[in-house]
Amino acid sequence: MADHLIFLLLGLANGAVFASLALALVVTFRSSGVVNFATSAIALYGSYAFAFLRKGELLILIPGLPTKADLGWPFPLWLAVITALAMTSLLGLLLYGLVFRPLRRAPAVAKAVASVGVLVVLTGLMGVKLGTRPVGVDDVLPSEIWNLGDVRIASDRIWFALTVVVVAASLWALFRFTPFGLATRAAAETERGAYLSGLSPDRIAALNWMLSAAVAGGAGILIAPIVPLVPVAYSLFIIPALAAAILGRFQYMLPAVVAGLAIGMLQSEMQFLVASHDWLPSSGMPDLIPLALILLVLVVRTAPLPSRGAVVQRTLGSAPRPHRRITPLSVMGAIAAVAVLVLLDGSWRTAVIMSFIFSIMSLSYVVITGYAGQVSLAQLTLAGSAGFLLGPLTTSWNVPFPIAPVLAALGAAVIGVVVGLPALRIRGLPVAVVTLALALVLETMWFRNNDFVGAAGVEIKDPSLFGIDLGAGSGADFPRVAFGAMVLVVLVLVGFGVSYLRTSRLGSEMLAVRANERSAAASGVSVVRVKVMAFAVGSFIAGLGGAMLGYRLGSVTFDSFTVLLGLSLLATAYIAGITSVTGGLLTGIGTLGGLFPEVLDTLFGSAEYFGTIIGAFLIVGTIRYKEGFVGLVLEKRRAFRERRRQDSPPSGLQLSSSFASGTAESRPRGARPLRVRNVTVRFGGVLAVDDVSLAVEPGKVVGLIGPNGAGKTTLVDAITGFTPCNGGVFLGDQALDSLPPHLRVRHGLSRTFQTIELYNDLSLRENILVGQAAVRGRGEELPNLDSVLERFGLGALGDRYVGELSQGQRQLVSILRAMVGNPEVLLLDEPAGGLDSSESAWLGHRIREIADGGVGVLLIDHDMHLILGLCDQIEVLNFGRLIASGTPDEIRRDPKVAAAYLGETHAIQSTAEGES
Amino acid sequence: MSTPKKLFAVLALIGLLAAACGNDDDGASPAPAEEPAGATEAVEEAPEAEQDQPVDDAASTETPDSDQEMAQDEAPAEEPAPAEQPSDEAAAPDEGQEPSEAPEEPANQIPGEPNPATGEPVKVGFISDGQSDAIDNSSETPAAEAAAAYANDYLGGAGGRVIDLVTCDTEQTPAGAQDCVAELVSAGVVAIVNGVSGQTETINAEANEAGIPFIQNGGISQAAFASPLTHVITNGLATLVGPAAVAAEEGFTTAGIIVIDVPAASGPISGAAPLFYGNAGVAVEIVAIAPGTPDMTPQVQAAISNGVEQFAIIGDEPFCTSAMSAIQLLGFEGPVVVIGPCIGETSIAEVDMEGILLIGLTSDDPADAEVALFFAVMAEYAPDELTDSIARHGYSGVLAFARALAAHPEGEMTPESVQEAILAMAPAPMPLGPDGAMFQCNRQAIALAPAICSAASVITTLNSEGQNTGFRELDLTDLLSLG
Repeated sequence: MADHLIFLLLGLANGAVFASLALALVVTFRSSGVVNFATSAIALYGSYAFAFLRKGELLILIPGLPTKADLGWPFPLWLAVITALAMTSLLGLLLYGLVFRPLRRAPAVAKAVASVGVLVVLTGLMGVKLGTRPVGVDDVLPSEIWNLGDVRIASDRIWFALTVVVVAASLWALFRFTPFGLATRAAAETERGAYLSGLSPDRIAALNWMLSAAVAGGAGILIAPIVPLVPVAYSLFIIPALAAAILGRFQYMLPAVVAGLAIGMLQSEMQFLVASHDWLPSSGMPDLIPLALILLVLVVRTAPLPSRGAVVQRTLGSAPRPHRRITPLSVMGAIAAVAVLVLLDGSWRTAVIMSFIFSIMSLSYVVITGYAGQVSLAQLTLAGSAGFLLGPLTTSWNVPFPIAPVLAALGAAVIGVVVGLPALRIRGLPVAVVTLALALVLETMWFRNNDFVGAAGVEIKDPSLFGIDLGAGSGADFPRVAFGAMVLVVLVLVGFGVSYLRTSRLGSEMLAVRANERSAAASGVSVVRVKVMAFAVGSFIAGLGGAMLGYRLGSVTFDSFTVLLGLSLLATAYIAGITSVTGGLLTGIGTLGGLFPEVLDTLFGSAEYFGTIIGAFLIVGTIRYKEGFVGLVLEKRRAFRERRRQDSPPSGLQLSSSFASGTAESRPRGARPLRVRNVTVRFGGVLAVDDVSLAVEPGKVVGLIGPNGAGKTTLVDAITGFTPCNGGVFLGDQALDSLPPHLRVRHGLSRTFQTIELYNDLSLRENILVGQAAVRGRGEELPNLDSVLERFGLGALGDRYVGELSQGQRQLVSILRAMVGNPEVLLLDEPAGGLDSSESAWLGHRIREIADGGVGVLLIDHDMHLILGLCDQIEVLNFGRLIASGTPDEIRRDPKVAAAYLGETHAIQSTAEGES
Repeated sequence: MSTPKKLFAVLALIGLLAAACGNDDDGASPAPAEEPAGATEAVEEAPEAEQDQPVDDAASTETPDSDQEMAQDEAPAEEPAPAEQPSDEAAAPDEGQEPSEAPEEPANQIPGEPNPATGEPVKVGFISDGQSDAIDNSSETPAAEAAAAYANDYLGGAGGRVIDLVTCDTEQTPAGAQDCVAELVSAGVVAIVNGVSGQTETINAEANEAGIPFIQNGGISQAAFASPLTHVITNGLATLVGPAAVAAEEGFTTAGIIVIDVPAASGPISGAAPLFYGNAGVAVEIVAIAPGTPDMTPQVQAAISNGVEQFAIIGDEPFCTSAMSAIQLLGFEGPVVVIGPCIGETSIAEVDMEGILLIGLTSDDPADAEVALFFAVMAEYAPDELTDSIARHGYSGVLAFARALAAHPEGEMTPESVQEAILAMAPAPMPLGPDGAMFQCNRQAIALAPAICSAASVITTLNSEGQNTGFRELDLTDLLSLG
């Protein structure tokens, strides 16, 4: 027991390192929404600045100027600390002004990518200016040895941990109790809100960046006496620090700090266990700690679907739908690639082949991130796993060429699915961090583990097919054209495959999930299946890339596939354009080892600031091109199409009268009634829906009304499975209450959303295509989509992105999307929202036609004209309880309803009079 | 000894060496003063030194994992050792700051008569790891070129022919190293020379596959030890075997080795250490530290709890500094054995060096003829370049190559004829070796590792300033046997 205690204590120093960086991460994120991967670099800058001040020198990190200026006398400790903190906050201000201010409305992923750019720039600058010679720093905190039994603990480590906790507590108090803190919290909620309260959000953000940079710098100063400074000294600390920040939900400072300390201490304990138990793997066990903690806390805590009101932000550029898969351009590209391959030689040919390989890997980002919207930071690691599998496949088991890499890639796909599993329960940046932690575990427990990988790496046998040697060759023979051709073939196949995926149903479903998981589920898409498929397909592709890289290297070691390299590959992919195949190809050309750096190298020689320049590219690219560099091309193409479209009819809501006839061929199958029995929904202690029972008969329109907050949408969520509830939901005799949303849809229960929740990145046609998932799920025949669109007056708009449509058109599309699922019961949540009265009346007619077709309709709306005029039956909800039920006439006269609506009484009455 | 066992041993060894090779920044002459050229200044002063380009730094930039650097650094095991000569004054390293200082002391007069090469120029490849944010080997190539120029002017080049050095930068990646060998082979080089590299495995494999002799000064890799075309000038095994010898002398039963946990470093060590320590009658515990570990006290304490009586540390300066700090913090009182790259300005400032044992292979004593020659050559041919340990590796690799080819017959020079000449070479002075130290690549120096051309190794105890207090030869013959 005493041993365990001692080791937990010994881990305090490492824990304090992670905790201090986690604190800086949280402070940055709270105020700016940036997951700042550059935090450790900023911390390092702070500690270098501090170390130089202590020697009486001022660190100047600007290219062209001397690295340091002599100040004449070494600064005393506290002055050095304060000056160094001032210097880092200045850096923070600079970062805000140059990088993150222009990005303040950008998606979180873009900000994270920009921070990777900052990391690259800072590390590069420090590398060039400071060299790799380590710099030591004297103790900052009182250092003496405390004896604990026969073990000695250094007091500075304990003080370090305490300092971090105290700083976190002070920051908490600062944010909690000062006007500045209040303003920060207000500004974090909404920029406009801050304006209203008379504050400049700009100034608040700038101050916060200075503060968070100073926190990072302070962390660096505290770490410096423990870790000798070199430009890459702190880079790996970011992963446990991110884990700790995640555990604090990127919001809570003290929990993040405690989590950081816990990670360090538990890792130390794990070291002890590994040292005393031979059967434990010798490598990587400590890295399991952050991963396990994240999984435990996140996965256990989070709901499987985002709740209503969760901020759904458009995070990525549009993923253009290729019009033709084989375009003259792509054919020319392939021919050019072959020509280049044959004509170039030596390092140029190598660069071309490396571009092919990285293009393949980047296409995996296109699938996982670009299409399915899941940010995976593990793709390069997954590529590596295929490389490491390829070794034994080709050498030990002698699996022949085309099969071995495919098997290896399948292996990567399996691992990729496992990596992606947490994404089934969590979403957004936490997914990214979990994949990062998983990647690190793969790297340490496998790629870097002596039990599996020798010093020379894992050897891979050259590929050959039908007696043709496809190996990369060696010596003067390297790289062989045949090898390059093989890689090119793989790239072309993968490229077309990904392009095909984009136009396939699975692709549409991925984009649907990316755009909006709730509405995807409401269309009958199995979100779980789509995510798993995305990770499987993406990882398979990454695996193919990894296998190719393995063939090229002849033997693989971890250093081609490190977690940090993977981070930079993702950043490059994002900048190049992560949502399209073209972007993937561009990534290959632009990434390290690819063609573009080779060109730069040839043109300008080896510049010492090369890394810095690459980083600057990342930052500028993020700020300037929302869709990546490929966006330049896409914009032109889109503008061109737009021009051609001028002839097509103007986009207005075309009030065709054939709505119902449009769905005529998708007649409900057996027309069963929806019965809701005693449904109760609780959110914590709040009773949102209280014991509600109602029925929707086939062919009837049932209205559901009530004041705001009455629980109408919650009830619909409960019926359709988006919110857990007690009680029964039946379609005919079939109980639906245990089914997930997408299966309820497939059984015939379709819905729309108050917020419409279309997939803005998909065309109108694709939006509706996704809606057919339910029909397909039942194995029924699909109606001809074009004729359906035609009859709805939407035919001309089929290829438009729904983001470009009017509100009325969007409402229509959302109903249509629900209808093509061929439902028996349709639940419409405020379909008339945003429509004018004539449109609303038109919509009423269409709904009536739908009902006449035998579909039961549950209609929520605030438009009393619509409700009272259209419904056969009306249910009134208030405070989660049904307070009235009856025909429109009965409801109109019910005093309870009037009371519930209070101020709206008059409205109801006047409406009633108008009707009669 | 059964063959498999032998094989294993060799492999292991080699690996180990591999591990050991690498660059120690300034490490080389820890003890003696001069060379600790402040890398910092150095870098900025002579930044563009040639072609080492940070190119892929981009890569490395983002990947700044310390592993990478460590891996490579690790390797450097052997070199730094100061000469066995009880170096006289052994200047304090601290002052070393200015690189230029050092060369000034010696007379700078190149000894010997000029003997310009007259034959057709012959292309010789030189590979360096260049510079990144993690590792800066940029002083290696200029020093190699200085050595080539010296050989061309004073040694009759290589076998009478002018050495035309074709240089290349690995960009510190396996892929880059592969490219390099391909490039050099395409250029028609007859041999590939290297000082130290973290990419030894790749260079070795590619060169041997291409049929080109590979001469390396300080690197070692598992495969390299057994590769027929590879010749390693200094004895990197000493970094592993030396501490075992110390433990045996002390009569310990358990000793630890602290090493960075990447396969290139920890793999060979965990493979080979049990054999050598076993020969010494000592049980060994490998303390592998994952890259990105800020504080090593938990691991070190775990080893102490397991009864370790002595620590050997294999790594670069930042790594060794952390390890030594942890050991001292925990009040460990047994011997601590380090390698050259461990010692530098920072480690001396951060750690109490009193009593630390340093294992080395070459000299740093300006009184030694080879050391004087080095400074004279650098002053003449590369006056503005660093003379740090990396530079020494580059210089030594090329000079050893020239010396090994002294007897190459006139006429055509091919990779085959070069290999033949190297195998048949007469003993020649070890570049930067202590007076009297020789190398001979006849594959006899160490039976276990035929590629190694010398069995020499020395050890010293440091004083509190990090200066050596005199070297003594370590006899490793028994331990290097297969037991």
